[in-house]
Amino acid sequence: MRLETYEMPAPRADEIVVRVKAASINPFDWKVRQGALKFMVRGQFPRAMGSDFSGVVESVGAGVTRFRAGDDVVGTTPPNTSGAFGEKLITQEKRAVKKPASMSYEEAASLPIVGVTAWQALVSKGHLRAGQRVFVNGAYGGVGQAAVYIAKALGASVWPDALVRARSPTQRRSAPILSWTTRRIYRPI
Amino acid sequence: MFDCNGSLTPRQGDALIKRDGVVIDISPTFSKFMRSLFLRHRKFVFASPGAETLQKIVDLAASGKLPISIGRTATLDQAIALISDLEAGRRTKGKAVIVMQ
Repeated sequence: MRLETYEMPAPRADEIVVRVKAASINPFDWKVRQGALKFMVRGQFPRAMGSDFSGVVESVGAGVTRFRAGDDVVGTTPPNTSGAFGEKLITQEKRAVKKPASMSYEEAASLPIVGVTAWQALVSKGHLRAGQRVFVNGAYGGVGQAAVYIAKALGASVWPDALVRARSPTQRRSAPILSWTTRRIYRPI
Repeated sequence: MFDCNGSLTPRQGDALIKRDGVVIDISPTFSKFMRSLFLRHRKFVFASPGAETLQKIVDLAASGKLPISIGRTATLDQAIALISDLEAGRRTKGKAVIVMQ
């Protein structure tokens, strides 16, 4: 990894140029760097890094309608080009939304990938509804944390692994539980 | 069951759900991805952050219902060291954020 100076192209019709205020790091970023996602992500090395960002719109492409210069935004860069780990980036209008004034740039930048991944997993794929139960494995991580809060907001009850670890055998009644100490799965009786 | 860090084997995952439950993976291994293509109870997610979903997340966070904790911050100059740490498995509690000056 190294920092380089380079000339930024003009935004295409559907793109915005953003002066970055904060960018968060996701496993995705270093998996791309290690080449682990080469079947899913295009682009030649050396390449820019970074997906999640918050910042201020500096200029917009001819077809952009939702933003104008000066807007506070939060979003992601396209996986094939990246570039959030820099002073300025280019992304598509459809990958950003306005940042609420009440939210700090740091907080906003930490949301997109973990939040959207957890939402799409629980809601789009899992069809999680109020009253249902979900076990979140890896609840300490970024996506796991987001998943716990999203599930609670939907009215589902959540069993993060941190909680399951603390449960006693007598409490293992209504759902299968994976024990971290014994590495065994306990089925309901 | 939502396996966020990919530490569960397919068998462990299957054993954790009820009859009509689903297992959702995000960690891209070949075998888990193939299972999601053939088994109804196995799903695979590769996030595509479009504005519509992102807006829901931002709204949820703005209302205080999605408090993501920030573990470590760094300037752009310090970012390479921070990314290297994460890459080497020295994880932070909460998100790692690069803050521009």
